[in-house]
Amino acid sequence: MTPFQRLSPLISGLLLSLAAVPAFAASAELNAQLGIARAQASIDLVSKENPAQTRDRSFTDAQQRLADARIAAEKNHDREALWLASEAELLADVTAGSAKLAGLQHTRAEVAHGIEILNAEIRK
Amino acid sequence: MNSLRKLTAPAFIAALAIAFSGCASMPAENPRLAQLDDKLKTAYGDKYVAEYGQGDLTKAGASLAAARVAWRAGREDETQHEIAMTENHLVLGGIHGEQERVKAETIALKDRLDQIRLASRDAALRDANEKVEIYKSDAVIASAAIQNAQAAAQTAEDKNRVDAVVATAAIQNAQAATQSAEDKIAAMKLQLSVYDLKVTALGATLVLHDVMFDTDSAQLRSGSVDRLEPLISYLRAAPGTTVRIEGHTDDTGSVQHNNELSLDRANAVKRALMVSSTVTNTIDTFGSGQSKPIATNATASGREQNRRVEITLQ
Repeated sequence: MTPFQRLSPLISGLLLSLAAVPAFAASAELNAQLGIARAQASIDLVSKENPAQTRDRSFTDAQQRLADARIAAEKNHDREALWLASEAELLADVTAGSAKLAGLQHTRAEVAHGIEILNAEIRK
Repeated sequence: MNSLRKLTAPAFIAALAIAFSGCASMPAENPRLAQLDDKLKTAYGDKYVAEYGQGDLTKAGASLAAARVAWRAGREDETQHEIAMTENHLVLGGIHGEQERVKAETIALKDRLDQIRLASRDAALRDANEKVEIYKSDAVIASAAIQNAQAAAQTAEDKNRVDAVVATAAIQNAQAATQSAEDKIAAMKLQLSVYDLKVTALGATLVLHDVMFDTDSAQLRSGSVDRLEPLISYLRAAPGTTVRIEGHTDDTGSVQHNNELSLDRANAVKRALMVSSTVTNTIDTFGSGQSKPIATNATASGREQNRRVEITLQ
């Protein structure tokens, strides 16, 4: 067995590893971009459907996280960008859930108020 | 079964996360992770969060487990990221649970509202029915009052009609009586036309003058009875007629004598009337003497007029 033959498995593995690094990097970048796109869509949906909630802390945090994610992505910090985008998307979901909860609480308060008014009328 | 299956996975993940935290061979626990363990346990203890925020709690449990792994591997950034994800999944799970709690409470309140409305409507209906009954009662009373008023009016009308009939009859009777009286007087006047007849308040009065008696005598002259014949005939035809005979004198002689003379003359006339057995009338006599002269006693003709007998038919 020649020295090359002896080293061939090692060389093959090394070449394979060198080839896989760009593929892995491309996948991480794609995931980060996908995460940023999802977060942006969630934030846009909140802005459209619940404009009153855009002043909520969770919403401004979501916007901030998304901005940070973009910056991280530009620096090719794809893993960090994906984390930040995920946090931004989750915060947007929290904002939307809070808005829906506020609507339900408002309805409940209206019904309770209706009962008070009706009881007052009956007492008259 | 499905719900059991649903609860099994998150419970397993939570148990896994908690188990990792309790292993004695592991490095010292991150206090932040321990706090999140407690929050996760508390979240599962809320029935609404456990049921309706189940997906969020599952993700929270997974993030917490990943945080713990990263912490033990010393990957600080990843640990912070997973902690943030755990916290926000817990928040979102709490929101989803709270949404369902509020929905359930709203439904219960709406049911309560419907019950109150129904009760209120029933009460209003009862009030309305009571008012209807009162109105009905009032209407019955009013109707009875109207009927009474109508009956009273009818009675009054009937009474007025009867009164009118009675009054008419009375008028007719009075007219008839008047007519009868006038007829009687006319007949009387006709029958007694030979006498000096006048109608007075006492009735029809006829006057017989002194010529029927001699001077100072109560004895009827012969032939004087004949002068009474028309009167006798009249009384025979009118047996219900009451006769009042009053004698009068002039002022010649004493008052007592004249009173006696005038009464005697009245009685003389009465006797003359009673001679006829067919006369059954009630006859009263009076002697007024010289107290009621109808002419002066200063002259012979005046005294002659004062000497008289008045016969009143009643």
